[in-house]
Amino acid sequence: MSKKVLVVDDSPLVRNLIKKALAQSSDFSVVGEASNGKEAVELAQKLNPDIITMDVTMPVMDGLEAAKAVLSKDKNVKVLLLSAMGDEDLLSQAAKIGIRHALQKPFKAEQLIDALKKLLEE
Amino acid sequence: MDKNTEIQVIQSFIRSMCNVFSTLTEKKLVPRGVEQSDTLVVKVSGVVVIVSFSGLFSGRLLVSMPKELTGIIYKGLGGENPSDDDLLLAANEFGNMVAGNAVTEINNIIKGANIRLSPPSSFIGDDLVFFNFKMSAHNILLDAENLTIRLNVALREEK
Repeated sequence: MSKKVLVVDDSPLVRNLIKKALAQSSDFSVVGEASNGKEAVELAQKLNPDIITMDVTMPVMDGLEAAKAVLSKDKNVKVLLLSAMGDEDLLSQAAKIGIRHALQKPFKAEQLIDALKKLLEE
Repeated sequence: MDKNTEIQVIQSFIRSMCNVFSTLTEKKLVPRGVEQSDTLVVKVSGVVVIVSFSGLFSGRLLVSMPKELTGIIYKGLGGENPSDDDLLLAANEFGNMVAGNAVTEINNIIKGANIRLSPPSSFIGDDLVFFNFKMSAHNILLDAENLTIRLNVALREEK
């Protein structure tokens, strides 16, 4: 059974890219998309995704705040952080809220799929 | 800012441009060389994206490219038949990734740099003129598919 993925990014281009990449694998199916952290938190409650791909820099509510809110309500959901930035400071902030998996943009479809599979093995 | 640090920073931006471009488009981008700009003014045409940054030092990245190259990037981001608005979206995303990747490298190699980015801004037009206020700038031309991207990096040390 394929894992349900919620795609969160303020760029419609990147959301499209992620959806196209995941369409190449039968292990994942995109059940929703959000363009900011607040929408992400609302949709996560509604859709109960297995995985969330979360952009970091977004309007209204950023990805780290959104991830913290989602994980406080559902500790089982897996979050993959996606960002153009990948420095140690950001990764350590993410680790403090329980996110240990991140992928730097840009990425190829197979890199995204591999990252999600590693996330599920945890 | 000492010369060595300045060179390190410029090289990070060049590497990032080439890597981001080739990851998105599967095409090679080749830099021609770095030249210090001797004027305060940058004149460009086509699609332009600007990303500012600040931290231990501040500055801005300016990338200008022909519409055709931006269209190739848009295709690499999964789109087809772009309108001008789509090209602006693609330029925004491209600028964000180039700046983000470069600043990640800079933050990891220069202790205490703590550089953070501002959101990108994109423009389309002919004969656009941008002004470098109190910043030293470097021009780099990069070639792909018989077209040229211009990278202009302006830097200022924060006291």
